[in-house]
Amino acid sequence: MKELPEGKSLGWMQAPASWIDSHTVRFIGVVRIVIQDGEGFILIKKGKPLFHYFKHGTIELKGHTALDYFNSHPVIEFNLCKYTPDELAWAMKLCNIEDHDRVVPQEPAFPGPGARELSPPARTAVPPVAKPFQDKRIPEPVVVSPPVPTVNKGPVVPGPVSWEHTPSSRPSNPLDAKPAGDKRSTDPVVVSPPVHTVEQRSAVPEPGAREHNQPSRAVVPPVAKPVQDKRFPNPVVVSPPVHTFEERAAAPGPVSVEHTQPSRPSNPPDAKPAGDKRITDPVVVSPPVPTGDKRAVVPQPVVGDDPGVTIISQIMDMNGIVAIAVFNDNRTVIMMGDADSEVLVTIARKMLETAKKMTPLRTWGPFVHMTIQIPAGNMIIAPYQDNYLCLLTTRTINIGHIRRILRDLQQKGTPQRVA
Amino acid sequence: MLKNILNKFLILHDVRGVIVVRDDGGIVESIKSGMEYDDAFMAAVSNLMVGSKATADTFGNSPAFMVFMEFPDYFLLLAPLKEEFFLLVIAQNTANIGQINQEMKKNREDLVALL
Repeated sequence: MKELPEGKSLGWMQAPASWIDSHTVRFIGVVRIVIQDGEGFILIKKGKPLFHYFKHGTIELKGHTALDYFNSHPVIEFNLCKYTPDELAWAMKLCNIEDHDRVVPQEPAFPGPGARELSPPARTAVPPVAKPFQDKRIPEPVVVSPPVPTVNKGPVVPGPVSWEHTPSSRPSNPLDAKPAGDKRSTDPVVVSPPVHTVEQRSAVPEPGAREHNQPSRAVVPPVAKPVQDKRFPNPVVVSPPVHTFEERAAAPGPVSVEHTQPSRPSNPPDAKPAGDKRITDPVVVSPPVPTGDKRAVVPQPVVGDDPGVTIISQIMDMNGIVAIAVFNDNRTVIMMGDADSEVLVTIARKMLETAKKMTPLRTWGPFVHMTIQIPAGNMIIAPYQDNYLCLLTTRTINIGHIRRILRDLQQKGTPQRVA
Repeated sequence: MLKNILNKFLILHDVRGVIVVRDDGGIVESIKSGMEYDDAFMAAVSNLMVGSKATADTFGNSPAFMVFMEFPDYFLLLAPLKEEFFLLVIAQNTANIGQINQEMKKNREDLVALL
């Protein structure tokens, strides 16, 4: 591999490989990675990884394999190097990647096609990438309209997070058992908060699906790695009124609270901490929220067009949200997600009680919000209408974004849509 | 010496108080600017510590964790230092949380060494 253009270094840092995906939505350049004595890079064009490469001694890893290797480390050291369009073009040439959509240096906040990359199993539109060895899944970049809170429900946590969200109904595909390498979470959690992606996991391949869809990757032997549970989010264009959750073949009904234990992949279970519970019950929340992968626990109102529930559902669908509960002093009003509702609410009540005890003592005004940082992620508690909202998030969540949403909720009552 | 380190926090923009506190609410060392640590405040700190400890117990074997509590004008940042010692930072909402966090990371070892 020839030397890539140097680019403008933005600095070295250490983070999980998944961080790169989620924080480079508008980044054009190369991420130089150093792991032990080896070096590699990810060529990125606006959140779209174009090429993964790693070399250690005489061993060269490219594409998928390199990505898997990056993901197999909880934390990697890397340097973000920004490219000019010319440098990018040169780098792409060196990597044998065709430049179908030439990069324009200055683009509007929400550019057209080419916003991001994920690796969907089956997309009709073939990406403009001449894929090197084994890298067969650069998908179609997609526009996500800004006001639409579309969601990638894939887990973001690369570390030992016990609240990882794992889809309960995956097509039994041995490739799902490859936890370490297949993550393509590109939610711009920090860099561009309004843009989210939707993971669309259709069991039925789309017509004209590319040859390199998910099954084709089954050649990679499943490796049980405890740390990560990654998947192949599939970015799609989402029209504003439609809010898409993880699509399932088995959840067509308008309201379904029944517990369905869908087909699990035949992969070995990841080693998870004790508290890790998987979402199993799909709750479909009426028209604005067609289907959802969430569990309703406590007095579950059959929610029709309740805007409150819709908002909660939308928050739940944000990337990095593990569980969400609306509760008051007496009961849990709504519970969605992947956590033990009793424990969650008990803890939330305890801390809320603490906050309540503090507020009369100081002239600081009413309690606004609380974040408790624990090893598995964050617990966020905030007033919500007449109740309180408790969110469990992964560690990689953008807390600032969540706080902004909570502030909006508190100021506006029930907004139509979370940003 | 401890005060010198705490002063590094206090000089950050809009930080109003920095306290090294025990998990029972007892203050080991404190430094403040523009606020008073009266009995009511001490009671509030004690409540916070007790509540946080109870929460940590609920989490089981989870180690001590950071608590960020926000009010309209102020926020509290409680971070574990060592065993029963915690660092409590009180700041106005206009303070830079990232900066405070960074200062915590930079000075944690020194603080722990002095406890």
